[in-house]
Amino acid sequence: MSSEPALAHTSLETAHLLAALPLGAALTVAARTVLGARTIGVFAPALLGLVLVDLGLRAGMVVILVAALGGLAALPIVVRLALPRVARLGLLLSAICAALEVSGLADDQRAAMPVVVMTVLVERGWDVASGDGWRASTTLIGSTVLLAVVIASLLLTPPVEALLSAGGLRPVVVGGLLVALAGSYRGLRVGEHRRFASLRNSEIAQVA
Amino acid sequence: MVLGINRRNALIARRNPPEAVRLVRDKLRTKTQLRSHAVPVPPTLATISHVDDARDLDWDGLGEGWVMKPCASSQGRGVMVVVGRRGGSWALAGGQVVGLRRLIAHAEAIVDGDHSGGRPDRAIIEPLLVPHPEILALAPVGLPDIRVICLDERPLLAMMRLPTRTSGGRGNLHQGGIGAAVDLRTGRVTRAVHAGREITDHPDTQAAIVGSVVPEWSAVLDAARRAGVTCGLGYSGSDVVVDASLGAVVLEVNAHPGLEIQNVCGVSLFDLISGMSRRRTRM
Repeated sequence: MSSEPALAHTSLETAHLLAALPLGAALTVAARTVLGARTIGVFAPALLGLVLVDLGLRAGMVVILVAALGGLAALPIVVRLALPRVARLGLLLSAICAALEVSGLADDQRAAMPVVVMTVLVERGWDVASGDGWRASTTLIGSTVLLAVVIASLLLTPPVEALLSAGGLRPVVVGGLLVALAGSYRGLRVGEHRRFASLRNSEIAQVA
Repeated sequence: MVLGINRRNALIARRNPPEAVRLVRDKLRTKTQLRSHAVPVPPTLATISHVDDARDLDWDGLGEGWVMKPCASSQGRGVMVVVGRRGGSWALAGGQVVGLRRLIAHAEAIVDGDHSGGRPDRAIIEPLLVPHPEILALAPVGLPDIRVICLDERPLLAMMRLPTRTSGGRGNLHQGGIGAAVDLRTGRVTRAVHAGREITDHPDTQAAIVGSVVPEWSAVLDAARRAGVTCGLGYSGSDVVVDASLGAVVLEVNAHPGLEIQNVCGVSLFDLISGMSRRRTRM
Protein backbone atom coordinates (compact mmCIF):
# COMPACT_ATOMS: atom_id res chain seq x y z
CA MET A 1 0.00 0.00 0.00
CA SER A 2 1.53 3.36 -1.01
CA SER A 3 1.53 6.12 1.56
CA GLU A 4 -0.64 9.17 0.94
CA PRO A 5 1.28 12.38 0.24
CA ALA A 6 1.23 14.60 3.32
CA LEU A 7 0.63 17.72 1.24
CA ALA A 8 -2.57 18.79 -0.45
CA HIS A 9 -3.03 19.88 -4.07
CA THR A 10 -4.32 23.35 -4.85
CA SER A 11 -6.42 24.50 -7.77
CA LEU A 12 -3.52 26.13 -9.63
CA GLU A 13 -1.85 23.53 -11.83
CA THR A 14 1.90 23.12 -11.58
CA ALA A 15 2.15 23.85 -15.32
CA HIS A 16 0.98 27.40 -14.65
CA LEU A 17 3.55 28.15 -11.96
CA LEU A 18 6.10 29.42 -14.50
CA ALA A 19 3.61 31.97 -15.77
CA ALA A 20 2.94 33.02 -12.18
CA LEU A 21 6.59 33.90 -11.57
CA PRO A 22 6.56 37.33 -13.34
CA LEU A 23 3.40 38.23 -11.41
CA GLY A 24 5.11 37.23 -8.17
CA ALA A 25 8.12 39.30 -9.23
CA ALA A 26 5.85 42.30 -9.93
CA LEU A 27 4.38 42.05 -6.43
CA THR A 28 7.89 41.86 -4.94
CA VAL A 29 8.96 44.96 -6.90
CA ALA A 30 5.82 46.83 -5.78
CA ALA A 31 6.36 45.80 -2.17
CA ARG A 32 9.88 47.17 -2.33
CA THR A 33 9.39 50.39 -4.29
CA VAL A 34 5.99 51.44 -2.96
CA LEU A 35 5.84 49.96 0.54
CA GLY A 36 9.59 49.87 1.17
CA ALA A 37 9.45 46.25 2.35
CA ARG A 38 12.93 44.89 3.06
CA THR A 39 13.26 41.24 2.11
CA ILE A 40 16.02 38.70 1.77
CA GLY A 41 16.89 38.10 -1.86
CA VAL A 42 15.20 40.02 -4.63
CA PHE A 43 12.92 37.17 -5.69
CA ALA A 44 12.94 34.91 -2.63
CA PRO A 45 9.42 36.10 -1.67
CA ALA A 46 8.14 35.32 -5.18
CA LEU A 47 9.70 31.85 -5.15
CA LEU A 48 8.36 31.10 -1.66
CA GLY A 49 4.99 32.47 -2.79
CA LEU A 50 4.93 29.90 -5.60
CA VAL A 51 5.79 27.18 -3.08
CA LEU A 52 2.77 28.24 -1.03
CA VAL A 53 0.59 28.27 -4.14
CA ASP A 54 1.75 24.81 -5.14
CA LEU A 55 1.48 23.22 -1.70
CA GLY A 56 -1.43 25.24 -0.38
CA LEU A 57 -1.03 28.01 2.18
CA ARG A 58 -1.30 25.86 5.30
CA ALA A 59 0.83 22.91 4.13
CA GLY A 60 3.29 25.31 2.51
CA MET A 61 3.73 27.26 5.73
CA VAL A 62 4.36 23.97 7.59
CA VAL A 63 7.10 23.07 5.09
CA ILE A 64 8.66 26.55 5.35
CA LEU A 65 8.51 26.49 9.15
CA VAL A 66 10.03 22.99 9.42
CA ALA A 67 12.75 23.97 6.93
CA ALA A 68 13.52 27.17 8.88
CA LEU A 69 13.65 25.31 12.20
CA GLY A 70 15.90 22.62 10.70
CA GLY A 71 18.30 25.27 9.38
CA LEU A 72 18.25 27.31 12.59
CA ALA A 73 18.83 24.20 14.74
CA ALA A 74 21.94 23.35 12.72
CA LEU A 75 23.22 26.94 12.63
CA PRO A 76 25.21 26.94 15.93
CA ILE A 77 27.16 23.84 14.86
CA VAL A 78 27.66 25.12 11.30
CA VAL A 79 28.95 28.48 12.58
CA ARG A 80 31.27 26.82 15.10
CA LEU A 81 32.86 24.75 12.33
CA ALA A 82 34.03 28.01 10.67
CA LEU A 83 33.69 26.55 7.17
CA PRO A 84 33.85 28.41 3.87
CA ARG A 85 30.51 29.83 2.74
CA VAL A 86 29.84 27.15 0.15
CA ALA A 87 30.34 24.38 2.71
CA ARG A 88 28.24 26.27 5.25
CA LEU A 89 25.41 26.49 2.74
CA GLY A 90 25.78 22.79 1.93
CA LEU A 91 25.53 21.80 5.59
CA LEU A 92 22.50 24.02 6.16
CA LEU A 93 20.85 22.51 3.09
CA SER A 94 21.54 19.02 4.47
CA ALA A 95 20.04 19.98 7.83
CA ILE A 96 16.91 21.36 6.15
CA CYS A 97 16.51 18.16 4.09
CA ALA A 98 16.94 16.09 7.27
CA ALA A 99 14.27 18.14 9.06
CA LEU A 100 11.80 17.62 6.19
CA GLU A 101 12.63 13.90 6.11
CA VAL A 102 12.23 13.42 9.87
CA SER A 103 8.93 15.32 9.89
CA GLY A 104 7.53 13.05 7.16
CA LEU A 105 7.10 15.92 4.71
CA ALA A 106 9.68 14.61 2.26
CA ASP A 107 7.19 11.94 1.02
CA ASP A 108 5.89 14.58 -1.36
CA GLN A 109 8.59 15.67 -3.81
CA ARG A 110 7.13 19.17 -3.94
CA ALA A 111 8.50 19.70 -0.42
CA ALA A 112 11.93 19.93 -2.09
CA MET A 113 10.93 23.16 -3.85
CA PRO A 114 11.70 25.60 -1.02
CA VAL A 115 14.86 23.87 0.22
CA VAL A 116 17.37 26.03 -1.67
CA VAL A 117 15.52 29.29 -0.98
CA MET A 118 15.19 28.43 2.71
CA THR A 119 18.90 27.55 2.91
CA VAL A 120 19.83 30.97 1.56
CA LEU A 121 17.22 32.59 3.81
CA VAL A 122 18.63 31.02 6.98
CA GLU A 123 22.24 31.75 6.01
CA ARG A 124 21.50 35.34 5.08
CA GLY A 125 19.47 35.72 8.28
CA TRP A 126 22.49 34.62 10.29
CA ASP A 127 24.68 37.04 8.34
CA VAL A 128 22.34 39.94 9.12
CA ALA A 129 22.08 38.84 12.77
CA SER A 130 25.86 38.83 13.17
CA GLY A 131 26.03 42.40 11.86
CA ASP A 132 22.81 44.04 13.01
CA GLY A 133 21.44 41.67 15.68
CA TRP A 134 18.75 39.00 15.77
CA ARG A 135 15.91 41.52 15.90
CA ALA A 136 16.88 42.96 12.51
CA SER A 137 17.35 39.46 11.15
CA THR A 138 13.98 38.19 12.42
CA THR A 139 12.25 41.23 10.95
CA LEU A 140 13.92 40.61 7.59
CA ILE A 141 13.05 36.90 7.50
CA GLY A 142 9.53 37.63 8.78
CA SER A 143 8.87 40.24 6.11
CA THR A 144 10.20 37.88 3.42
CA VAL A 145 7.81 35.09 4.48
CA LEU A 146 4.93 37.52 5.02
CA LEU A 147 5.38 38.90 1.51
CA ALA A 148 5.43 35.32 0.19
CA VAL A 149 2.06 34.71 1.90
CA VAL A 150 0.65 37.91 0.38
CA ILE A 151 1.93 36.92 -3.07
CA ALA A 152 0.43 33.42 -2.75
CA SER A 153 -2.90 34.82 -1.54
CA LEU A 154 -3.06 37.21 -4.49
CA LEU A 155 -2.06 34.53 -6.99
CA LEU A 156 -4.89 32.36 -5.70
CA THR A 157 -7.59 35.02 -6.20
CA PRO A 158 -10.09 34.07 -8.94
CA PRO A 159 -9.10 36.81 -11.47
CA VAL A 160 -5.38 35.99 -11.24
CA GLU A 161 -6.08 32.26 -11.33
CA ALA A 162 -8.18 32.81 -14.45
CA LEU A 163 -5.37 34.81 -16.05
CA LEU A 164 -2.83 32.10 -15.25
CA SER A 165 -5.09 29.24 -16.30
CA ALA A 166 -5.64 30.89 -19.70
CA GLY A 167 -1.97 30.06 -20.33
CA GLY A 168 0.05 31.48 -23.21
CA LEU A 169 2.09 34.64 -23.03
CA ARG A 170 -0.64 36.84 -21.56
CA PRO A 171 0.18 36.35 -17.82
CA VAL A 172 3.89 36.76 -18.53
CA VAL A 173 3.32 40.02 -20.46
CA VAL A 174 0.98 41.32 -17.75
CA GLY A 175 3.59 40.43 -15.11
CA GLY A 176 6.34 42.18 -17.11
CA LEU A 177 4.24 45.33 -17.55
CA LEU A 178 3.43 45.41 -13.83
CA VAL A 179 7.15 45.05 -13.01
CA ALA A 180 7.93 48.04 -15.28
CA LEU A 181 5.08 50.06 -13.74
CA ALA A 182 6.05 49.34 -10.13
CA GLY A 183 9.73 49.86 -10.95
CA SER A 184 9.13 53.36 -12.31
CA TYR A 185 7.46 54.65 -9.13
CA ARG A 186 9.53 57.59 -7.89
CA GLY A 187 7.58 58.77 -4.84
CA LEU A 188 8.44 58.18 -1.19
CA ARG A 189 8.05 54.62 0.06
CA VAL A 190 5.45 54.12 2.77
CA GLY A 191 8.13 53.59 5.44
CA GLU A 192 9.92 56.77 4.37
CA HIS A 193 6.94 58.97 5.25
CA ARG A 194 7.62 58.15 8.92
CA ARG A 195 11.40 58.11 8.52
CA PHE A 196 11.48 61.67 7.19
CA ALA A 197 8.46 62.93 9.14
CA SER A 198 10.32 65.65 11.06
CA LEU A 199 12.03 66.93 7.91
CA ARG A 200 8.75 66.98 5.99
CA ASN A 201 6.96 68.72 8.87
CA SER A 202 9.61 71.43 9.02
CA GLU A 203 9.30 71.92 5.24
CA ILE A 204 5.52 72.22 5.56
CA ALA A 205 5.96 74.73 8.41
CA GLN A 206 8.36 76.80 6.26
CA VAL A 207 5.88 76.89 3.37
CA ALA A 208 3.06 77.91 5.75
CA MET B 1 10.44 67.63 -0.93
CA VAL B 2 12.57 64.88 0.64
CA LEU B 3 14.83 62.71 -1.51
CA GLY B 4 13.55 59.15 -1.08
CA ILE B 5 15.25 55.92 -2.13
CA ASN B 6 13.30 55.62 -5.39
CA ARG B 7 14.18 59.14 -6.58
CA ARG B 8 17.76 58.72 -5.37
CA ASN B 9 18.06 55.50 -7.38
CA ALA B 10 16.77 57.32 -10.46
CA LEU B 11 19.35 60.07 -9.87
CA ILE B 12 22.10 57.47 -9.51
CA ALA B 13 20.98 55.71 -12.69
CA ARG B 14 21.34 59.06 -14.53
CA ARG B 15 24.54 60.36 -12.91
CA ASN B 16 26.62 57.29 -12.02
CA PRO B 17 27.78 55.17 -14.98
CA PRO B 18 27.85 51.40 -14.32
CA GLU B 19 31.65 51.21 -14.74
CA ALA B 20 32.10 53.90 -12.06
CA VAL B 21 29.72 52.04 -9.72
CA ARG B 22 31.72 48.83 -10.30
CA LEU B 23 34.96 50.71 -9.60
CA VAL B 24 33.91 52.07 -6.21
CA ARG B 25 32.55 48.69 -5.14
CA ASP B 26 36.18 47.53 -5.25
CA LYS B 27 38.11 49.32 -2.49
CA LEU B 28 41.49 48.38 -3.93
CA ARG B 29 40.73 49.68 -7.45
CA THR B 30 39.24 52.79 -5.90
CA LYS B 31 42.41 53.42 -3.90
CA THR B 32 44.57 52.97 -7.01
CA GLN B 33 42.37 55.38 -8.97
CA LEU B 34 42.36 57.99 -6.18
CA ARG B 35 46.09 57.72 -5.57
CA SER B 36 46.85 58.17 -9.28
CA HIS B 37 44.96 61.48 -9.10
CA ALA B 38 46.72 62.59 -5.92
CA VAL B 39 43.62 62.17 -3.75
CA PRO B 40 44.92 61.14 -0.30
CA VAL B 41 44.19 57.54 0.76
CA PRO B 42 45.59 55.34 3.54
CA PRO B 43 48.63 53.26 2.55
CA THR B 44 48.17 49.55 1.77
CA LEU B 45 50.33 47.15 3.78
CA ALA B 46 49.30 43.98 1.96
CA THR B 47 46.65 42.46 -0.28
CA ILE B 48 45.47 38.87 -0.18
CA SER B 49 43.97 37.50 -3.38
CA HIS B 50 44.37 33.75 -2.81
CA VAL B 51 44.35 31.41 0.16
CA ASP B 52 48.11 30.85 -0.40
CA ASP B 53 48.77 34.59 -0.02
CA ALA B 54 47.29 34.44 3.48
CA ARG B 55 49.57 31.57 4.47
CA ASP B 56 52.67 33.15 2.90
CA LEU B 57 52.13 36.63 4.37
CA ASP B 58 54.61 37.90 6.97
CA TRP B 59 51.95 38.69 9.60
CA ASP B 60 54.60 39.64 12.18
CA GLY B 61 55.91 42.29 9.83
CA LEU B 62 52.58 44.15 9.62
CA GLY B 63 53.30 46.12 12.76
CA GLU B 64 51.32 46.80 15.91
CA GLY B 65 48.00 48.09 14.66
CA TRP B 66 46.36 47.30 11.34
CA VAL B 67 42.99 46.63 9.73
CA MET B 68 42.06 43.74 7.44
CA LYS B 69 38.94 44.28 5.32
CA PRO B 70 37.22 42.83 2.29
CA CYS B 71 37.58 44.71 -0.98
CA ALA B 72 33.91 44.48 -1.85
CA SER B 73 31.97 44.53 1.39
CA SER B 74 29.82 47.33 2.76
CA GLN B 75 28.66 48.62 6.15
CA GLY B 76 31.85 47.50 7.84
CA ARG B 77 31.18 43.80 7.29
CA GLY B 78 34.19 41.51 7.61
CA VAL B 79 36.48 44.21 9.04
CA MET B 80 39.04 42.91 11.55
CA VAL B 81 40.78 45.59 13.63
CA VAL B 82 44.07 44.62 15.26
CA VAL B 83 45.14 47.08 17.96
CA GLY B 84 48.36 45.48 19.18
CA ARG B 85 50.40 42.37 19.95
CA ARG B 86 50.04 40.13 23.02
CA GLY B 87 53.10 37.91 22.98
CA GLY B 88 52.81 35.80 19.84
CA SER B 89 49.14 36.70 19.38
CA TRP B 90 47.18 39.70 18.15
CA ALA B 91 44.75 41.82 20.21
CA LEU B 92 41.54 42.84 18.42
CA ALA B 93 39.58 46.04 18.98
CA GLY B 94 36.79 44.13 20.74
CA GLY B 95 39.23 42.82 23.37
CA GLN B 96 39.71 39.33 21.93
CA VAL B 97 43.21 37.91 21.52
CA VAL B 98 43.65 35.69 18.45
CA GLY B 99 46.38 33.52 16.99
CA LEU B 100 47.79 33.20 13.49
CA ARG B 101 45.26 30.49 12.54
CA ARG B 102 42.37 32.83 13.21
CA LEU B 103 43.96 35.62 11.12
CA ILE B 104 44.48 33.25 8.20
CA ALA B 105 40.95 31.84 8.56
CA HIS B 106 39.53 35.38 8.44
CA ALA B 107 41.58 36.20 5.34
CA GLU B 108 40.39 32.96 3.71
CA ALA B 109 36.78 33.76 4.56
CA ILE B 110 37.19 37.17 2.87
CA VAL B 111 38.77 35.60 -0.22
CA ASP B 112 35.93 33.03 -0.31
CA GLY B 113 33.43 35.90 -0.44
CA ASP B 114 31.92 35.38 3.02
CA HIS B 115 31.44 39.12 3.42
CA SER B 116 30.81 39.97 -0.23
CA GLY B 117 27.64 38.05 -0.99
CA GLY B 118 29.50 34.86 -1.89
CA ARG B 119 31.51 36.41 -4.72
CA PRO B 120 35.28 35.75 -4.56
CA ASP B 121 36.99 38.78 -3.06
CA ARG B 122 40.36 40.12 -1.94
CA ALA B 123 41.49 41.24 1.51
CA ILE B 124 43.26 44.56 2.02
CA ILE B 125 45.43 45.26 5.02
CA GLU B 126 45.95 48.89 6.00
CA PRO B 127 47.63 50.50 8.99
CA LEU B 128 45.27 51.34 11.85
CA LEU B 129 44.21 54.95 11.49
CA VAL B 130 44.27 57.09 14.63
CA PRO B 131 41.78 59.95 14.72
CA HIS B 132 43.04 63.52 15.00
CA PRO B 133 43.29 64.47 18.74
CA GLU B 134 40.42 66.98 18.43
CA ILE B 135 38.13 64.25 17.07
CA LEU B 136 39.47 61.71 19.56
CA ALA B 137 38.38 64.07 22.34
CA LEU B 138 34.80 63.86 21.04
CA ALA B 139 34.60 60.09 20.58
CA PRO B 140 37.27 57.91 22.16
CA VAL B 141 35.98 54.65 20.64
CA GLY B 142 36.08 53.51 17.00
CA LEU B 143 37.03 55.60 13.99
CA PRO B 144 34.88 58.68 13.37
CA ASP B 145 34.61 59.79 9.75
CA ILE B 146 33.04 62.56 7.72
CA ARG B 147 30.52 61.68 5.00
CA VAL B 148 30.30 64.31 2.27
CA ILE B 149 27.62 64.09 -0.41
CA CYS B 150 28.67 65.70 -3.70
CA LEU B 151 26.98 66.38 -7.01
CA ASP B 152 29.91 66.34 -9.42
CA GLU B 153 32.53 68.42 -7.59
CA ARG B 154 30.02 70.39 -5.56
CA PRO B 155 29.55 69.34 -1.92
CA LEU B 156 25.87 69.31 -0.93
CA LEU B 157 25.80 68.06 2.66
CA ALA B 158 28.31 66.81 5.21
CA MET B 159 28.03 64.96 8.48
CA MET B 160 30.52 63.58 10.95
CA ARG B 161 29.73 60.06 12.16
CA LEU B 162 30.84 59.42 15.71
CA PRO B 163 30.84 55.90 17.15
CA THR B 164 29.48 55.23 20.61
CA ARG B 165 29.84 52.35 23.05
CA THR B 166 26.40 51.07 22.03
CA SER B 167 27.37 51.15 18.35
CA GLY B 168 30.27 48.80 19.11
CA GLY B 169 32.76 51.34 17.82
CA ARG B 170 30.99 51.70 14.47
CA GLY B 171 29.92 55.03 13.07
CA ASN B 172 26.87 53.65 11.22
CA LEU B 173 23.83 55.60 12.37
CA HIS B 174 21.45 52.62 12.30
CA GLN B 175 23.80 50.76 14.62
CA GLY B 176 23.82 53.49 17.26
CA GLY B 177 26.39 55.95 15.92
CA ILE B 178 25.93 59.73 16.17
CA GLY B 179 25.33 61.85 13.08
CA ALA B 180 26.64 65.42 13.39
CA ALA B 181 25.73 67.95 10.69
CA VAL B 182 28.75 69.93 9.52
CA ASP B 183 28.48 73.42 8.04
CA LEU B 184 30.14 73.24 4.62
CA ARG B 185 31.63 76.74 4.83
CA THR B 186 33.19 76.60 8.30
CA GLY B 187 33.43 72.90 9.22
CA ARG B 188 31.53 73.64 12.43
CA VAL B 189 29.04 71.08 13.78
CA THR B 190 25.64 72.71 13.85
CA ARG B 191 23.40 69.84 14.94
CA ALA B 192 23.76 66.25 16.19
CA VAL B 193 21.37 63.32 16.16
CA HIS B 194 21.61 60.06 18.10
CA ALA B 195 19.00 57.27 17.89
CA GLY B 196 16.54 59.69 16.25
CA ARG B 197 16.88 62.35 18.98
CA GLU B 198 18.66 65.66 18.75
CA ILE B 199 21.62 65.90 21.17
CA THR B 200 24.37 68.40 21.89
CA ASP B 201 26.95 66.25 23.75
CA HIS B 202 28.40 62.78 23.22
CA PRO B 203 26.40 60.35 25.43
CA ASP B 204 29.55 58.45 26.51
CA THR B 205 31.97 61.31 27.16
CA GLN B 206 29.67 64.35 27.54
CA ALA B 207 32.05 66.18 25.21
CA ALA B 208 30.28 69.00 23.37
CA ILE B 209 29.68 67.92 19.79
CA VAL B 210 27.58 70.85 18.62
CA GLY B 211 29.87 73.83 18.16
CA SER B 212 33.01 71.75 17.64
CA VAL B 213 34.95 72.22 14.40
CA VAL B 214 36.23 69.42 12.17
CA PRO B 215 40.03 69.77 12.06
CA GLU B 216 41.65 70.28 8.62
CA TRP B 217 38.19 71.02 7.21
CA SER B 218 39.35 72.49 3.91
CA ALA B 219 41.48 69.38 3.26
CA VAL B 220 38.49 67.14 4.12
CA LEU B 221 36.23 69.01 1.72
CA ASP B 222 38.86 69.11 -1.02
CA ALA B 223 39.50 65.34 -0.75
CA ALA B 224 35.77 64.56 -0.81
CA ARG B 225 34.93 66.82 -3.75
CA ARG B 226 37.73 65.29 -5.84
CA ALA B 227 37.13 61.67 -4.82
CA GLY B 228 33.71 61.21 -6.45
CA VAL B 229 34.56 62.74 -9.82
CA THR B 230 37.94 61.01 -9.92
CA CYS B 231 36.05 57.72 -9.76
CA GLY B 232 33.62 58.87 -12.46
CA LEU B 233 30.62 59.42 -10.18
CA GLY B 234 28.23 62.32 -10.72
CA TYR B 235 26.50 61.72 -7.37
CA SER B 236 28.71 60.41 -4.60
CA GLY B 237 29.18 60.04 -0.87
CA SER B 238 32.82 60.09 0.20
CA ASP B 239 33.96 58.97 3.64
CA VAL B 240 36.94 60.95 4.87
CA VAL B 241 38.95 60.30 8.03
CA VAL B 242 41.20 62.89 9.65
CA ASP B 243 44.17 60.81 10.81
CA ALA B 244 46.51 62.15 13.50
CA SER B 245 49.58 61.80 11.28
CA LEU B 246 48.27 61.38 7.69
CA GLY B 247 45.70 64.18 7.83
CA ALA B 248 42.54 63.90 5.69
CA VAL B 249 42.36 60.57 3.81
CA VAL B 250 39.51 59.11 1.77
CA LEU B 251 38.47 55.79 3.22
CA GLU B 252 35.65 54.95 0.85
CA VAL B 253 33.62 56.37 -2.04
CA ASN B 254 29.95 55.36 -2.26
CA ALA B 255 27.87 55.34 -5.40
CA HIS B 256 24.67 54.77 -3.37
CA PRO B 257 25.10 56.97 -0.30
CA GLY B 258 22.37 56.67 2.33
CA LEU B 259 19.69 59.28 2.87
CA GLU B 260 19.78 59.61 6.66
CA ILE B 261 22.10 62.60 6.26
CA GLN B 262 18.96 64.62 5.42
CA ASN B 263 17.54 63.93 8.89
CA VAL B 264 20.88 64.71 10.53
CA CYS B 265 21.35 68.01 8.68
CA GLY B 266 17.64 68.89 8.60
CA VAL B 267 17.97 69.65 4.90
CA SER B 268 16.42 67.97 1.86
CA LEU B 269 18.86 66.76 -0.79
CA PHE B 270 16.07 66.95 -3.36
CA ASP B 271 15.64 70.69 -2.71
CA LEU B 272 19.38 71.29 -2.89
CA ILE B 273 19.73 69.43 -6.19
CA SER B 274 16.62 71.01 -7.75
CA GLY B 275 17.85 74.44 -6.63
CA MET B 276 21.17 73.82 -8.39
CA SER B 277 19.42 72.65 -11.57
CA ARG B 278 17.20 75.76 -11.58
CA ARG B 279 20.20 78.06 -11.12
CA ARG B 280 22.03 76.25 -13.93
CA THR B 281 19.00 76.64 -16.24
CA ARG B 282 18.78 80.36 -15.46
CA MET B 283 22.46 80.74 -16.30
